[in-house]
Amino acid sequence: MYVAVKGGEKAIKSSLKLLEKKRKETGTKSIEINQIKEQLSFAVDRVINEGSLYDKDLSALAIKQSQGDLVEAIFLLRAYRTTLERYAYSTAIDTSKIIIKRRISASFKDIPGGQILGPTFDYSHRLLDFSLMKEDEINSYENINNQEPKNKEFPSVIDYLNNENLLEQEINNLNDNPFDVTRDPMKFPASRDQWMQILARGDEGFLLGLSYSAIRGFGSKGTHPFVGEIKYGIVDIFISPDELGFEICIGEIEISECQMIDQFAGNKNTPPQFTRGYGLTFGYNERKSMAISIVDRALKSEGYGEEIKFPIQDQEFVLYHADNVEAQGFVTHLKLPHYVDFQGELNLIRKLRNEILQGKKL
Amino acid sequence: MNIKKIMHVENLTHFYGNQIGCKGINFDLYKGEILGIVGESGSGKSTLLKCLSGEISPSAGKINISLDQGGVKDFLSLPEQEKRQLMRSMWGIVHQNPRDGLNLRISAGGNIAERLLNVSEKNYSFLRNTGKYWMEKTEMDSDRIDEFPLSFSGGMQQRLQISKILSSNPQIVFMDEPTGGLDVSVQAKILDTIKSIVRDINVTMIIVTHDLAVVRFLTDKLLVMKDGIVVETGLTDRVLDDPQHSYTQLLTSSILQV
Amino acid sequence: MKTGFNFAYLDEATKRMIRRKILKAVCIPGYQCPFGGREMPLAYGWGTGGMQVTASIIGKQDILKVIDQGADDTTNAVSIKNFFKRVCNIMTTDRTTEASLIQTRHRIPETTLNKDQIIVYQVPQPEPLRKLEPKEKETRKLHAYKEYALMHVKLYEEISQFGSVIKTWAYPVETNNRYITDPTPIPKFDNPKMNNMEALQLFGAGREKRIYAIPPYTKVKSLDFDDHPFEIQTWDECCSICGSTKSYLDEIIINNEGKKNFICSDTDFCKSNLEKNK
Repeated sequence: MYVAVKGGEKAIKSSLKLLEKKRKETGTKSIEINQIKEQLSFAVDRVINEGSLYDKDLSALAIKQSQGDLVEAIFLLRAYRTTLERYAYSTAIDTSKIIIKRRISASFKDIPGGQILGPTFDYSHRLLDFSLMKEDEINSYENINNQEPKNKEFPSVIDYLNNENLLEQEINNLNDNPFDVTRDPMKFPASRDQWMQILARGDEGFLLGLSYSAIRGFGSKGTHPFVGEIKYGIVDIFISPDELGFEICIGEIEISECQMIDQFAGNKNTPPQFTRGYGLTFGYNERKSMAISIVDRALKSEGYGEEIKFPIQDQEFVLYHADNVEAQGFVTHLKLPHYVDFQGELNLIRKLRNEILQGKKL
Repeated sequence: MNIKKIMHVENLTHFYGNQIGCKGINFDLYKGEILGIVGESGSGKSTLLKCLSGEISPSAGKINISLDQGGVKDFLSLPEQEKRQLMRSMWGIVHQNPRDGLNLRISAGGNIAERLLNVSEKNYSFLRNTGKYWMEKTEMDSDRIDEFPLSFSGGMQQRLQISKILSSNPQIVFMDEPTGGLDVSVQAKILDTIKSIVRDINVTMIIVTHDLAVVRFLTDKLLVMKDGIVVETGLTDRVLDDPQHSYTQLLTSSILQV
Repeated sequence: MKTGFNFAYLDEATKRMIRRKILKAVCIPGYQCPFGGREMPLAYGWGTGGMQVTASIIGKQDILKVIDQGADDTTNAVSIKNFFKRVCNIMTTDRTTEASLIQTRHRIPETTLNKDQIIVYQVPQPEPLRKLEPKEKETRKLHAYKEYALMHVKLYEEISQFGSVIKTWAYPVETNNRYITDPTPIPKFDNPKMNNMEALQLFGAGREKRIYAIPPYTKVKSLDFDDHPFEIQTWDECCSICGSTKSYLDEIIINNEGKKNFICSDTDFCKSNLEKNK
C-alpha cells in the first residue's frame, strides 16, 4: 500500500532519533554551554538578536540543540520567548552612558573621547589559523595593554553637526507607548518604531543584501552614506513601574549601535541637510547594525518625498520579508504534502491537453 | 436647447510648497463638449488635469460635478471611495503613455473587461463582445483580443487604452497628450479615430496638450495656460484664428511657421 | 500529566485576545481581522494560525481531529495532534462524526459537518487578492470599497486563454454577498461544502496574522460568470479501496511502469464507507 499516507506517527519518532544520532555519530565530548557562549560568541549574539530574547545561556543552548543551524536556533528561542510573561516595558536606553568597548567614527578624524578600536576582525588577516586545529587548553586571557577608557559618557558624535543645523533632528516621542511587533500585527504605513523593531530582529543576511543593494545604486538617489559613529559596549536597562514612580535599574546589556549619515538634496523650499539612519542590536552585531541603519534611512524615503523606486525603500517589501522565522517557515512548508492540490492540477492539465488535442474549442 | 452643465470649476488653485501649480482657474464644461487645455510644459496644464481627475487635492477652489444620477456634487469633498468609483467607470483618463493606463499582464480583452467589471458585469460573452466591439471601433483587429499589450505597437496600445476607457460609456474622458509619444503618421490616424468616435457617441472630453494641431482638430473650446494661469479662453476657432493675448499670438504664429 | 505549559500552550491573556478577534471575525463574515499572532513551536506556514485558533477555543471536553490532505495519518497532522495531546491532555479521534473540533489543511471532510462542530482551517495566504495586488495598503482598500473587478478579470483571462477557469484549488469565494474570501488551498471540489455549512468555520493565518470566519448557515458563493458557471472536479475512476464515486480522489503511482490507482483523499470517509459496504 501507499506508505506516505500511513505511519506518520512512527516516521516522526524515527526521524527525531536519527537527528539525535547525527549529533552523536562517533561519540565526541558534549560541548558545554559556556564553551559555546565564549568561543562562539558571535553566533550567540546573532541568535539573541534575531530570537529577540537577551539571554546568552538560552541562546547557547539553542545553538547546541539545533546543532549549529542558527536559523533553527533563532526559531527555538522565539518559540520559548512567546511563552514568557510581559512584566514591563523598559525606558529608552541611553547609549551615551555606556561602558565602551569599541567606538569609531569614519566621518571625523578625531572625536571627543577618542576612537577606540576594541575587538574586531577588521584588521586581522583572513588566514586560517591552523594552530586552532589542535588547541589543548584555553587559559583565561590576561589583560594585555588594557587601557580602560577614561570617559564614562560618550555623547553621539554626529550631534556635533546639530549646532549648525546640518543634521535632521530625531523626533523625540519617548512618551508614547511604542508599537510592539511581538504583540500587534503589522500596520501600513508603518511607523518608525514598528520598522526599527522588525529590522532589529530581521535576518542579518536579508538586511545585509538590501543595504548592499542601496549603496550599489538600487537605493535612494546618488548618495553615499557615512558612518557617523559605531559603538559597542554595555548599557543599563531601566524600568519605571507605575507603582514606584521612579526608575530602577534591572540589569545591563551589550549593544551595538550605528549612526549613519546620509544626504538629502533638499528642494527650492528646504535647504539640503544631512539625514540619519540608525541601527541598534543586542550584543556585538556591528555588521548588522550598519545594515539596519542603511535600511532605516531608505525606509524614511517616503517621508522625505523621495521617489519610491527600489525594493529597499518599499515598506511592505522590506518589513514583510525580513523575518527569518517567518521566511524559513513558509519556504520550507513547501515540503508538506500538497497532493490534494496537485491532483487538481493534474486533472486540469489532462483535461486541457485532451481538449486541445481533440481540436475541441478555443 | 438645454445642454446640461456637468462640471463647474471655480477659482481652482494649487501650490507645490511656495510654487504655483495653477491659479484661479474658472470654467464650465457642458455635456458633449470637448475642451482643450494648451500650454507649454510648466504652464500648469498637467497640474490642472490632476486636480480635475482627483489625482491631487488642490490647495483651494471648487469643482462641482453633475452626475447622471445623484444631482450636483462637490467633487473635492467626495469620499475616496466615490472618487475611485468615478474614475473606474463614469470617468476615465487616457494617459500619454498607454502603459500607465493598461495592465500589461493581462490580455487586450481583459483590459477592457476590467473596466466593465467595475460596474458589475458578470457575463463572459458580453465582456467578450463588448471588447471586440470597441477594438473594432478604434480600428484594431478584434482577432487580437487575447493578445497581450506588449505585443502591440505603441499606436495600437494607445488605441487599446482608448477602447478600454470608452467601453464603460464614460461621462467624462480626460486625455493627457494622447498622441504625445507617437510617430507623426500614427498621430494623425489616432486623431482621426478619436474624432470619428467622438462624433458617434457624443462623449464629453478634456484634452490636455501642447500641440495646437490636436486642439484645432478635436476641441470646441480652449483654455490657454501660461505660468499657472489661464491667459485666454474661448471657442477654439476664435482663439486660434484671432488670438487676443500676446502669448496666444506667439503660440499660433509659431505653429504657422512650421 | 504535567506539561510545564499552560493548557493549550498559549497563556490565557493571549487566548482571550484571539477569542475576541474570532468574535469580531464571526460578526463580519469573510473579513480578515488582524490579530497579534504569536510564535508557535511549529514553523510558520505549517499551521501556526490554525493552531493558535484551536488553542484559543479548545476546552477539556473537546475531541480533536486533525487532518492534512484529508488524511489523519500524515506527518504534519500527527505532529499537530500530538502537540495538543501533550499540552491539553485531551481526546483525539480520526472519526469525523466523533470530533467536536477539526483542524484541517487543504480539505474539508466528505462527511457533512453538523452544528456542534467547529472546523479550523490552516491558512497560508489569507488575502485572495494578493497575487493580483501585492500591496496590503491597496488590498485593504479594495475590500473596503468592494472593488473586486480584478478578481473577475483573472477568471476572464483564464476562460479566454484556456476555455475554462483553471483555478483548481484555493478557488475564491464571496462570503455573505460581501467579502471575497480565500477558502485556503482546499480543492474547488470542497467549495460547495462551505455554503450554508452547519458548523462554524474559522480560519487562522499565523505568518500573516489574520483571522477570518464563516458563521454557520452563511452563503458562500464560488466566483463565476453567468454563462460560465462554477464546476467541481470529477473522476472517471472510483476509489480502488471503498469504491466511492462521490469523494475527492488522490492518484497513486503503484509500480515503476507508472500504473496508477485512485483512492479517497479522506481516509476516515474511505474507512467508514468500506465498513458500510461490507
